[in-house]
This record gives sequence, structure tokens and C-alpha cells, in this order.
Amino acid sequence: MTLRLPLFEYRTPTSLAEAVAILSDSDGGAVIAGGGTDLFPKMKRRQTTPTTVVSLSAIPELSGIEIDSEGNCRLGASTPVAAVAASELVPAVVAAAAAEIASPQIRNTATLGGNLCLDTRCNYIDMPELWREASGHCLKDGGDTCWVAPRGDRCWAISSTDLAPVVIALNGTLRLVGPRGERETPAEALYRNDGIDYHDRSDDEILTQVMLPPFGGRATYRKLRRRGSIDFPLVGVAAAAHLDDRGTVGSIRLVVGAVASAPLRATAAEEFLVGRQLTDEVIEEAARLASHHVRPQDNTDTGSRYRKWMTPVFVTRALQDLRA
Amino acid sequence: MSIGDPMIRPDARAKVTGEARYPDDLAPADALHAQVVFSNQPHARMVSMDTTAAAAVPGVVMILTSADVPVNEYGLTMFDQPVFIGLETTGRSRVPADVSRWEADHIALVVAESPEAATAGAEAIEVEWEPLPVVADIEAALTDEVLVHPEHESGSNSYYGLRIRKGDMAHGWEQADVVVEGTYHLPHQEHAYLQPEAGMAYVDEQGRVTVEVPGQWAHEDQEQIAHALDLPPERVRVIYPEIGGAFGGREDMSLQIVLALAARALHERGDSRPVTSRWSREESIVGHHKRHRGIITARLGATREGKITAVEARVHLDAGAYNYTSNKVLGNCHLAVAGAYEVPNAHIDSHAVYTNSTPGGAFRGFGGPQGGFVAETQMNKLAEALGMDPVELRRRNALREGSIGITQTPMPPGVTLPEVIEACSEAAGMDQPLAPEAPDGPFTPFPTLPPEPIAVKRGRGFAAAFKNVGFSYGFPERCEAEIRLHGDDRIERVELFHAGAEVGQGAHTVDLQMAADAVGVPVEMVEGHFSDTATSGDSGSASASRLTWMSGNSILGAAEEAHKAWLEGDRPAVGHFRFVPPPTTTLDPETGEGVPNFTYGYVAQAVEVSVDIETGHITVDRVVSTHDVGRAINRALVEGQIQGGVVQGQGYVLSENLVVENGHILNPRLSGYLIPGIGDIPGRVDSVVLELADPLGPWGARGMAEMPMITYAPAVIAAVHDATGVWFDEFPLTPSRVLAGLEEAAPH
Repeated sequence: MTLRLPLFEYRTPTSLAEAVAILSDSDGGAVIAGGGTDLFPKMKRRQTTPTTVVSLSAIPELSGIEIDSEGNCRLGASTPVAAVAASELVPAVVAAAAAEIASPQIRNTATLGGNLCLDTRCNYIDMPELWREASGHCLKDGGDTCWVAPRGDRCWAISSTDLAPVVIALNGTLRLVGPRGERETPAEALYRNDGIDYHDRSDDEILTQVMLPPFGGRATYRKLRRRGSIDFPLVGVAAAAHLDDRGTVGSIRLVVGAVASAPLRATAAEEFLVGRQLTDEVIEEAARLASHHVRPQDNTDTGSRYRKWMTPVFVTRALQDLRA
Repeated sequence: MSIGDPMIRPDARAKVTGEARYPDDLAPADALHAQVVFSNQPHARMVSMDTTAAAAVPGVVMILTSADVPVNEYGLTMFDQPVFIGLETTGRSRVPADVSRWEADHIALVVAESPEAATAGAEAIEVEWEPLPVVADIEAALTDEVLVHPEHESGSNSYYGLRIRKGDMAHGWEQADVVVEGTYHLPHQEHAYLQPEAGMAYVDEQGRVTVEVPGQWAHEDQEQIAHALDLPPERVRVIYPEIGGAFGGREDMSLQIVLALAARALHERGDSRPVTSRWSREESIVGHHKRHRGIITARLGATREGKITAVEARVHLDAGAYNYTSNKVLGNCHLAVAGAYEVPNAHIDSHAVYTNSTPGGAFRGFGGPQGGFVAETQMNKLAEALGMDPVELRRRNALREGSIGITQTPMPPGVTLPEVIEACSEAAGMDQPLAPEAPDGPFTPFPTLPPEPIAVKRGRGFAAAFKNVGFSYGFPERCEAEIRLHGDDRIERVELFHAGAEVGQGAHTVDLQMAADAVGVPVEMVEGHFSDTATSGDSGSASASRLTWMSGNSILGAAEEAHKAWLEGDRPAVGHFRFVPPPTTTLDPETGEGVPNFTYGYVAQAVEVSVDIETGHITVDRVVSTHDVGRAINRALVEGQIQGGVVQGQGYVLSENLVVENGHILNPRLSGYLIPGIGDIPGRVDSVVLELADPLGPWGARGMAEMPMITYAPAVIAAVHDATGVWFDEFPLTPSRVLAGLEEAAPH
């Protein structure tokens, strides 16, 4: 039994206004496709069966990367991930994180906006329909039990975007356009730690642009992966800091991805680090602070215990990068 | 001279451009589509099956069940498997068909106008099952509380055994200054060939039931189809189109018999449309056998000087629900577990065990990787216990010319293991300290390595082995070839007819090279006609590292015959030859005495690894893979086999973790069953190719295709031990298993 796409209408609006109109007229039946690299497999598995797929690829202003007059880096949401990875205009850490996403073929097709809005993943839902029926539909799939934590009442699917932790660490801002107009939001505020309702974005809103303020500090992204050629993050740690001449941390933003349904700011660790030098002891304590409340679930291809162990290791490695 | 020329394979262009036609590319627009229905029951008795609703699904043309199979049984070496599980049969098979013993047992084939209709029809079949207790694994099987095949009157799931009793064990242990022992758990491995099972069948213009499928042995497929359909073999035709990998996974039936049944049934009702079917990746992983998992306990004793005094081993391989080739795989494992060494005293018991789990069967190395892993890990542990260099330990024990093998008969002439060990040691610099930094290589290291190398430990491991070339233990071994010489005064064109399967390894390329050389013409003059039972004699299977060796000898014979005919004035001059190698024998049931094989290939590997001790991630930095190939007919293809075998070994030892619970494979997809990608393979592979002629090999060639698989896992395990001080007796070495092992050895 080969998985095939269900029937759907495919729209390629040429303006944002047209795209918004299609979405708001569809009454929730339309979804946005960036590159479709995550959406189409989900449709094949019948995790979602939209009546209409709205491609943003024909809207010119959504593509491209530029530095504005104030030094902000502005990235159109439809910019391919590969173009972000190859860009010299974006902060190096953004390019590096983009280069770690999925595989070369997927990076050529997938978009920045698609990665930032990536649906949450879980071993129980990312399965063909037959398997989901056999095990019983989970919470995210319209059932009434989360198979990861059956006694709980929430969905634990994992936020697996590589770019969101980096954009949050760089204090990026997102622009969204919907039927009620345009709004800007700190990237951090877009995400909710809930596997089903993981976004503060309505179905008819379109993420149009990412704005990264000028950044003169040091930043890094460390990704735990099983496979070198293609992988989602199993843990992803982004850190962006300003250090003075003596290596003392002036400010830092530390974000842990792929261990919850949203990227998590490690604020306790951030507060601890400010005013300190990144010695081994300081890094160890910061890694503990950033990790001790993290509870990865057993819902990806390595066990939860392993990911729990790896969280402080990857925070440590990220902080070591900053002092290097 | 075409021998030795690393010529570009004639099929390269079509394969790279997509012009090549694989089995899923064959179907014409009017083809019917068939869906195999799996039982999904690891162990259950069928109570009822109703296909009425399925037959009424729009577009469904017909549904085949057990009632439609004249002889409802098949199997490569034993007829122990029903074509379809079902309640109605012709009564002409030896295996009861009312019990599903495996989740991928077939219960029906739905033939329809479209794939969608076939799927809908499959879903509409109603079956009632009475669940039976599932024999989940070897341990459960050995209790014999539940029998997988109660119809076999042995009363045990342990259905096939081999022994070796050599020398005097008490004396051997008495002489031993050092003894090492271990219990090893060997994992399954999935073939994961590029192209899942697919095929097409029809009745040809001469009335033959014709199946175009990927396989490894066209004439064996033909025979098994003919048996089930109760036809004379010549009424069945098997044609191999391009084949997207095999590795042993296509040695047994998948779609062959059911497609043939469908083609004949359609023909009988006057429908001449071809019928096609394909498996998804999930169906492929669930639906064909795996490399056997196994449990092996072993003891090895040696004197202080490093001379082996005794080997003891107890082998259990999980055959799964049906034999497939388990009895033959067990034979290889049985030999390999003793190692490629002179062993004066040995006591080995090996068993194949039925379970309700996924069948074990042929996979590159065919028991050699399991047995070889234990033999070589034991040797490496022995070297450590003796405080001896692992290469030196092997030098002191390696089989050599004239050695008596573990089956108490002389090794076939041409034993070159000592030379292979020396060449590998030298190329790898085994007598030098390991460099602190990984050497440069074409592939970049894994991107999660830490910024500060304190957490990375380097290590180096070594392993050596032998592997039979050709069929063993008295299994009939032969290979046919036909050569036709066209021309008048001089040869203008040469035709070669051969059935050796091109499964991606380059068999047809070397066939053409060998035919050109045997006839004495440029290779461009040779036209190959391959893998069609209607035009070629039986060439045996693409397995057992045998094809170059056997094909070459058959081609040499055919060329000689053709030359004779040419001189006698025949035009075209036809030479047909059936090559038969020296005979082999089964082993004595009590002592294991016998002549199991007629020749061997020899291999040694040295592997350097970096272990990230904080994450458990292992990077292989360098592999020196050393092979005596006798004569490289095509050096580029030899290196391709070495690199491919190393990469397949990389998956086996590091990442491929098939999860089977209670008879169900839980990760039948490549997102959860992790084969190496380009970012996971060794940083560099140095192929060291020796050409020490095999006395019986064509142009001196030896088989080599399986050998890189056999030593790779033990060499990596030894390198990880060298890096961390921890022995791992179970793999794959997933990062979490490595961390757990390190933690157990040195708790925080």
C-alpha cells in the first residue's frame, strides 16, 4: 500500500491580500504550504486533509534577504532554507542552523517560514493512518488520550524547528499578516508549550517576515542528531551573548529546542550567567539550571532518558562555543 | 585485455539518467494491480475468511486465496511455508495452511483495475482469528511450550542442528593459560535495498506463465513457481529486469508465486492484461526475511604464547516462522564461529530455532557476520588478556596452506590469510601508535562533535576472517553459460547467454569482460543476454560471493566449446558449458567432519574510531579493508563492493536497530530504522586489494563481495574497546547503548 496524497485544491496567489482572502474565506479548510516538505507527508498519512493548499511561492515580497537602513536583517518567510544557509547577510549562526536542517534536497524546497511554523512531531502521530487506527487515535489526532503520557490531559508532541531557538536567542521579531491587518510579535511569543496548540497564530494569518536586530556578540547553535545527512533535532541549543574583553557575560539569551512542545528559554541559567566568566564550573552550573526542569518525553527515536542526559551536554557545548 | 580493466559499466548511463527499467517501471497503462494481504497475525488460527464484500468493491477483478493454489507450499530449501494461509486448500501441501505463523504471512491477493481498488478490496476482506500464544524469541522457543510447526514431529522448535567435536576438550582447557568467554547477542539487519519488491506477470506468446521480478536466482524462482502452480518448469518463465539491490533479501519468494498465480488465473478467464504489484517500504520491511538475530555463547583458551588450545561455542539463530535458508546460514555461522584459525580442540553446537518472529535468511555474509563477530571479538579479548598485540595473536594462529580446518579436513589450496593479515597490518600502520588526530578523508565528521576534544577518545581495532565462495555442504553447485560466435572468416560478434543476476554489483559487466577475454575479442564486441530462463541455462544465484568465480569458469568453458565448434566450421559457433566445481559434503552429524566448501576468500580490516564519551556517538575515521581477490577482473567494481560492504557493516554495528516485539516489527520504515546516510559513513576507506591467485578461480579470481561485512563489526567493537576500555557484547552501538555501557563500567 503506497501512500498517496488526498485530493485537494492547490492555490498560488500572487499577492498577500489574495492569500489572506483565500485563507479567511476557506473557513479553516485551507492551509499554508511553505515548501510542503512537512505538510505533504502529513497529508499522505492523513494527519491532515485540507481542502485547499495555499502556496506562498508566487508572492514576490515574501522572498529574499536584506539589511535595512537600521542594520536589521529582514528575511522573507518564503526564502528557501538553503538560501538562508548560503546567505552572507544573515548572522553566521542563522546560516549554520539552517545548514543543519533536514537534508540538502529538503533545504532546497523548505522555507524559513515553514521551519518556524513547523508542526510538532511525535512517534504516535507521524504514522500512516492504518497504524494510528490500530493504536487508537491520540489527542492531537482527534482522540482522547495522549499515548506518550496517557494519564495527562495534554499533548506532548515535540517542537522540532531548528531555526526558532536561534531566532529567539537573537531576539528576532516576526511579522504576521491576516484579515485584521498586520502585527509584529517577538519570536518567543509565537510559541506555546502545547503539542496541539503550539502557535499563537490563527489559521488565516500568514508569517511574512523575520526581523533580526543587529547583533555584535557571539552566538552558536548545537544540535543533537542521530544521523549526519538528515535529521530533526533531538535537542537543539541556541545561545547568543555579549561578552566583555575579560570574557564576562554582559547579556545572554539561551534557548533549548526539541525537548518540549515549544523552544524553551533557559532564563534561570541566563540570569546566573550574567556577570560571570564562562569557566568550566560556571558552565556546569548553567547547564544544570538550563536542564533540570527539562522533561523530554519518550516520543522520538531515542529514548527520553537519553535526551534528558544530553540536554546539559549540549548546553555545555554551546556555552563552550561562546568562550572559544 | 579486458581482464583487469576498471571499465565503466555498460548499464551506468541508463541507471544514472533514469532510463533503466526497474520492476516498478514495467507496467503498461492497461495493467491490473494486485495487492498482497498480510495476515498481521504472528500466531493465530484462522476461523473464517469472507471475501464477498471485497469482491464487490468496484474495480476488484478477482481475489486469490489458498483455494486457488494447486500446491500451497514453497521454500528454497524446505517446503515449510504456505503460499496463502487459508481454510480451503487442494490438500496437496505438507504444511498446514490454517495457521498464520508470521505477521507477514499472505492470506490473499486482490487483483483490481487500480491500486486504489486493490487496496480497498484488501481492506474489505473479513477474517476471524483465534489467537495462539506467540513464540516471541529464541528464549521462548527453547522452552518448547508452544510449537511453531507442530506438524514437524520433532516436538521441538529447535529444528536443525550441527555439531563439531574435534580433539580432546579436557586436554585443550588443561593446556590453556588464559580463557576468555562471553555471551553475545547479535541483532537483526534489514536489507533496505533501494527498490522495494515489485513485479509484473503475464502469459507470454508461447503460453508460458511469465514473471518479471527482481531476484537473485531466476531458475530457482522458476522452480518454486512451477512447484506451487503444479506446472512443468518450462511452462514458467522468469525474467529479471534491472534490480535495485538484493544483498540476499531477494533470494526467497516475495511476489513471484502470487503474481504467477494471478497471471494464470486471468489468462484462464480470457483476460490477457499483465498484472503488477509493488510493496511499499513498510510492506517490504515487514514482508521479507532479515539477517538472523542470534545468541552465541563462546569460550576460547590459549597458551601464554598465544597458541589457541580450545574453542567452545553454542549458537542459536532465530529462524523465525519459516526456514528460508536458515539451515544453510547456520552452517556458515557454525564454521565462522571457530574463527579462521588452527584450532586443535573444538566443541561447537549450533541450532536454528523456529519462532513467530520475522524469518531469518540470507543477507550478505550468510551467517559469517554473526559467527565472525564472536570469533573475532573473542580473539581480541584474548589478545587483551594475554597482553599481546592482536595482529601478532592472529599471526600465530592463522589458517595457512595445508592447515587442517575445523571440520578435520585440509583447507582447499590457496589459503592466503597470513598474507592478508600482514598487508592489512602494514597499510594500517598497526605497529605504530595510533595518531591522536583522525586522518583526512573525503567525508566530513559528524557535526555534533564537541568544541573541545577532551570528550573524544580515539581507538583502533583489528579483525580477520574467511568466507566460503560458492554453495556449501553438498548443496548442488553448478553454473551454465552459452557463447555464440558470429562471423565468417573471423569472429565479428559474440553473444553471451547467462542467468547470473545483476543486482547492482556489476555482475554483467565482469561477465562481458570475462567473455571478451575468453574469446579473445574487445569487450565492445560482446553482446550479453542475461537472466531470462527462456534463453539461459541455470547459473545459480547471485549469492555466496560466488558469481564472478562460477560465472568466469562457466564462461571459460563455453568459450572453449565455442572455439571448437568454430574450428569445425559451425556458424554461428555455439558453445554451451555447465561448470561444476569440486564436490562438497555435509558434516558428520556427530563430529562435524566433512568438506564443507571448495574455496574461500580472505579478509582483514583495521578500523579507527572516535568515541564521543559524553554523547555515546561513534565516528569511524578510517577503515583499511584488505582482501585477497585473486584477480580483480574490474578493480573499480571490487572497490565498490568493499565500500558498499563497509557502509552496510557500519549500519549493522552502529545504527540499525530493528525493534521486534511479540512477532511484530515496530519500526518498519527508514525514519525509525536508521541506515547510514552519506553523513554517517566512515571518513575514509582504504581498499587494499591483493591478487594472489585462487588455484581454481577463473583468471585466479576469488569471491569477495561478502567479506567486508564479516570483519567490520568486530573491528569496530575492538576499536571502541581500545578507545574506552569497555567491551560491548551486544550491538548496534546506538549512542544510548554506548553511554549505558560506559556508565556501567565506570559509574559516575
